[in-house]
Amino acid sequence: MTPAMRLILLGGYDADAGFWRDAVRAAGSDVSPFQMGRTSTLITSLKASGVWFNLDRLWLFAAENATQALIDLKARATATAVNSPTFTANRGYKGSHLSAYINSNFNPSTAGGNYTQNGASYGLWVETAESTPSGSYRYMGNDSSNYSEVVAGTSFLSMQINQGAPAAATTIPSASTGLISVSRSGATATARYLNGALDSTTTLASIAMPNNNFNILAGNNAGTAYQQSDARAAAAFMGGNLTALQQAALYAQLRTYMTAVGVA
Amino acid sequence: MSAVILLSATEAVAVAGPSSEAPLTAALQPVALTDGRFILGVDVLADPLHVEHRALLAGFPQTDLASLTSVLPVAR
Repeated sequence: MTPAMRLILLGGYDADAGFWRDAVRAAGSDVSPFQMGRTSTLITSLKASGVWFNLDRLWLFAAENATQALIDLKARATATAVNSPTFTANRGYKGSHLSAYINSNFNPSTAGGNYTQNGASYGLWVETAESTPSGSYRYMGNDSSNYSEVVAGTSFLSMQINQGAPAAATTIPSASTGLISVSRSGATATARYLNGALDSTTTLASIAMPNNNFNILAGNNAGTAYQQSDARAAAAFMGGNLTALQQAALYAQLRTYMTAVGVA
Repeated sequence: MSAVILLSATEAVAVAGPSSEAPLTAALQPVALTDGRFILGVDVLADPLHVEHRALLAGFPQTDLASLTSVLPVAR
């Protein structure tokens, strides 16, 4: 198919949105024109802000169906729903305590992407917070000897990235919803964000990237998922370092998408 | 707390792995307890992607997660 023919058939949608729809169709499902419009708008705005080019993966779990939810927009890579997390259309995936979660199948050490030891970011959009915040449940993690995880602590979230020791907790309440994300911009510089706004920074030194897959709604201790959370995730991403401006842009652009599909 | 299915190590091995219905996007991975048993959330019983294991899993004992506090995986 020629590029011109493709553009005509796609109705002017962003090309990457079209490739994503192709992947969803190849997996046996489809994408409505409404969802194509929302997704194309999101990708276009992420490209305009420069965020898109720093991402390795971006899943919109708040999608029309589970097939859409598990195929990421950037690499069209597939995540795996492990132990039957509950999918709700246009809301996302809900885990269960010590059982159900999402395996992103994204290993930073082997992906060869933007995520590097001293330039990395990841995060998730929490649609419904963990029901029992206690430090025993992980929102996201890849953390055997490398601490890269978001922990739902008793009062506040704890967040770390490519570091050899846990960081002090953030001031982000554990009941928070929205985009929870963390960036590493250098060997001794990390920043934690809630809804695109900087919460806190650390100077904890980086260590080699984890050589396991990122889990979503669970930690990953040397290849074994653990401390699965019963929160509901509406989106998740991994990539290279995002600046404060890019974190704000990512939030604003995801917020537009989430509002369009009805996520509060 | 949540209801869970209790499995032996042998039973866990028997059901672990990709779904035959959706091998790329769904899998079972029973969670190890510290006493050698394994657990799965009861939600797997209603998941059509794991129908191949439904009859087997439905025959295993169930309990509340709260009753397993002493043998839950150790937090790091």
